[in-house]
Amino acid sequence: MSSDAELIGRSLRGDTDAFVEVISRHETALGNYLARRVGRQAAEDVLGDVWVAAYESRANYDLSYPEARPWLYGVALNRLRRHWRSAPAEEPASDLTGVASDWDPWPAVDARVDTQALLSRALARLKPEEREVLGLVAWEDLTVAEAGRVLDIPAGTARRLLHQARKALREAPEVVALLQVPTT
Amino acid sequence: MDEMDLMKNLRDVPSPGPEAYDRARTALQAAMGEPVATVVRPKRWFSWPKVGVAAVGAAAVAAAVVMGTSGGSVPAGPSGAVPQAVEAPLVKLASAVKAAGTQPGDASVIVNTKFGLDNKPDLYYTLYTDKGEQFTGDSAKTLVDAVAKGHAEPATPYDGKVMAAARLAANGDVDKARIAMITASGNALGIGLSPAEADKAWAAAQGETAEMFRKIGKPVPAPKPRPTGKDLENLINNHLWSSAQHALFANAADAEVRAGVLKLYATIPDMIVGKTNVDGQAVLTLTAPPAILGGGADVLVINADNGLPIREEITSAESSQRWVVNYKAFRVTLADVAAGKI
Repeated sequence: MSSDAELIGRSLRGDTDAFVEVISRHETALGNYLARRVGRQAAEDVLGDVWVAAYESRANYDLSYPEARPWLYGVALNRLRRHWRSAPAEEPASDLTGVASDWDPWPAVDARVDTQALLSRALARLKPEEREVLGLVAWEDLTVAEAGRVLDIPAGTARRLLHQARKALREAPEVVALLQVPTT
Repeated sequence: MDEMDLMKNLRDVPSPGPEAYDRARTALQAAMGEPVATVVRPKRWFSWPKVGVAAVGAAAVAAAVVMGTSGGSVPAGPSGAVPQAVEAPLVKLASAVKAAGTQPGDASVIVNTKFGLDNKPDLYYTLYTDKGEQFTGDSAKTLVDAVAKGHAEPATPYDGKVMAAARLAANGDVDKARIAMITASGNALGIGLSPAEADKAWAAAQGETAEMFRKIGKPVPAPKPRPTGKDLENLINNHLWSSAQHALFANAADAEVRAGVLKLYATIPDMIVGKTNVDGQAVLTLTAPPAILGGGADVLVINADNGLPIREEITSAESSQRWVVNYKAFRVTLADVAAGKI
């Protein structure tokens, strides 16, 4: 089977089917990546832009990397930034409204009512780049080096950010409480 | 079980629908100048086929992690009544803050220096524009870089809701604003709902919690009855305290937001407001009632003249761990920050 890099190389020589094959391999993962960040509705809106942006920028692809998924995540992240900038300010995302959930930032109040939300709040306080590396590693199954590729930062920096993110999470009162929930 | 396991258990989200993939392929083929052909759909449409309805809410919350929020609903009801517990100092200060107005500029910056368990300072800059965009950095330089490159982050629905609630309070309707702030992150408590609807909302939240426990491999606790009476009031005030604080710590230099938060704090019964001096400036200390924090402690220190936050000291109830955060908030223009003037 041809590598993604080979297919992208062929697409640069005019074989558009080759690029469609790259998309076929990664579209579900990319769709989920987008949905995790902006919700399903916005992900659906952005998906086509991501493919077009990837196609238009494929000449910049470093063909020494056989696997294109981290690059595609990087393209998607750039599109998301544009999407965020152009979104109406302070407008709730339609797909997230009406969700009956709750959170509570103080672990002792009622961690068992607000488990997911506690973690959500702790994550929301991470620095954006820490959260991004953490999400890429924990949710997208990328290596730290691949996460660095997505964000266009050195692997060492990505490793440091992941370390900081994990440390900040471990020390967050909400996560301390979650990890202390008795197992018996 | 560690923090990564917790993270991984929140990865499942509702995926884009099949039609969205079709539309995206069509857009791609148009960009490639190709006639639109029949598309081959990916094999899996959903990344969460095995989870039940209860987990959908959890997944939506997980998705909202990065966005920073979840949805919420519904005002009005007995718990929405506005007690005027500590009206005098805070409402007075809120009026003065609103009268003084927001300083010139088109954005507010807040710098927080957090001292964690290792007591090492951790700097964090947040710039919140008057249009509702956010830029962040861990130093003045990284903030300047983010602004110069236009790397804005989304104003999340939760941010939008807490800011709107604070502004509503500043502009008069404290009763409605209080409910809006309490329910900004959701309404599992059923504030303002009919008893049947409230029970349903509570059951849904309990279901999400049970699903979470199953996912992280812990025994699922027995469902708890919906809190009532004093327990309910404590939870309500906990949410009010926390969400108002979120607004303050994102956008304190906006006088309207700050005044609204002060007015909302004034509705929390049993909050202790003290006067003292810190580093030569007159300050108010706002001590949240321990009952609303489950026995934990949170003391917010604000400037007595302008209401800007100065310091926060948090002690968790169960582990007695202590966090201290220092705050510095001021107004800027985006152009100045982009040019490195901060």
